[in-house]
Amino acid sequence: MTNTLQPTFDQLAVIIEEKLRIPRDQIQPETPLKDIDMDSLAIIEVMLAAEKQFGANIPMEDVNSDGKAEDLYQLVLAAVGAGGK
Amino acid sequence: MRTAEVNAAGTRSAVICGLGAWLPPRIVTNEELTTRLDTSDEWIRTRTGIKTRHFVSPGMPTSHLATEAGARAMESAGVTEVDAVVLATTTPDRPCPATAPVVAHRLGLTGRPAFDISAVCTGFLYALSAAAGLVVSGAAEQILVIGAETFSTIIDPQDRTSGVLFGDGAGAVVLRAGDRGEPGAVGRVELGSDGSLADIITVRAGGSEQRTAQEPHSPADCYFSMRGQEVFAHAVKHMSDAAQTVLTDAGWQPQEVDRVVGHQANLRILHAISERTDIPAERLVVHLDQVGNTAAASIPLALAHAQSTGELFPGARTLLAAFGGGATWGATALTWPAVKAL
Repeated sequence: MTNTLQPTFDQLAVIIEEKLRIPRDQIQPETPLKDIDMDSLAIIEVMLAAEKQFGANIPMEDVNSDGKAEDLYQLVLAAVGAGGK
Repeated sequence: MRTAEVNAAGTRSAVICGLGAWLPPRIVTNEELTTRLDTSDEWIRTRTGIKTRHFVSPGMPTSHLATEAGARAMESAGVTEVDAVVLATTTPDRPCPATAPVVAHRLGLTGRPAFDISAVCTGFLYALSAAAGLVVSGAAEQILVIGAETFSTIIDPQDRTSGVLFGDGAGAVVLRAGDRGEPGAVGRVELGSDGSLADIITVRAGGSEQRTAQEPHSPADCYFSMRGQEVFAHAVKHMSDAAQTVLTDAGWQPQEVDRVVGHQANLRILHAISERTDIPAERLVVHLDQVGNTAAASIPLALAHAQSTGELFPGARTLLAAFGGGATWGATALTWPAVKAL
């Protein structure tokens, strides 16, 4: 997997924006998920969409509802780096 | 598990020929729940899609609902006799004995084999698979398959998370022996389980684990509990995977599926499955807005609802899928028959 094929934070932010109708400029790496009203199921919805888009198998048990957007991004990166599905 | 392979050489199959449903008359709105729980109609609707559910009244155990739905399914099929009764339930009348014999007795079927199946929200598909196997093997010509629940009896009235999700109800189908090529023939039922997930959907107390435990149980252990975030993720993945397996088996492309009758737990789960499997969202049958999550009853109740609204029609390529406690999951694909819902 080369760096050019790695998902960017912006791609994940677009998924969050589209699924949850949260303005893109409110989604920054340091944004706490609770601050943008992402409930526990919404986070899973986003990660399921990320799985499909990036062809990865994300360990959902590692998702932390009290975390930040960057934490979700790191889970996506790790899953893609692990070789996808 | 491949039901169809039981009789791989022949074409004998179990065919759906009757469909019945029954809901207790008492309707509980989201507004009513807000009088005793710290929640709101808006919160429940936006997060689950549920607007109302039905609750049983005093003196109305699961056998009552199962008998009502079973009688309607038999009337729909035009039969007064079946060879066996299979009841899927999470909320039996008693821990012992099973509830199905009581239901069979009330339906005038005393003497026939009758047994319960416990697979929580996947219970109806497990029961359908077991019953179809009995038909295919030649052990039975006609079987009544019921999913019935009184979840209102196991939810914690003070739990604002799980307390708003569930409802009571029962649905049933009659299977008859027929040919694999007929509309309504139940083909492969893809089933699975993962006991490492036993804690994500559970009633901890009431069984041998609690009675042999060193520590006393807490009052909350007597009620249903669910870890929603984990259930959501596993439900979407397992229901989608099982659905894709049976679609491949049936030779159907996702866009060719006319109706998805998925377990009615949460509208967001159904939409996530639609997205994951590429089946258009408008093909989803939605009944949970009216009845909530009725566990093992949800698929036959949704079938009856969709039949009565015309969403299900003879020849419709229909996908059934469920996920439940255990964890358990399952899916099957069938061509919908000409059947009347009562």
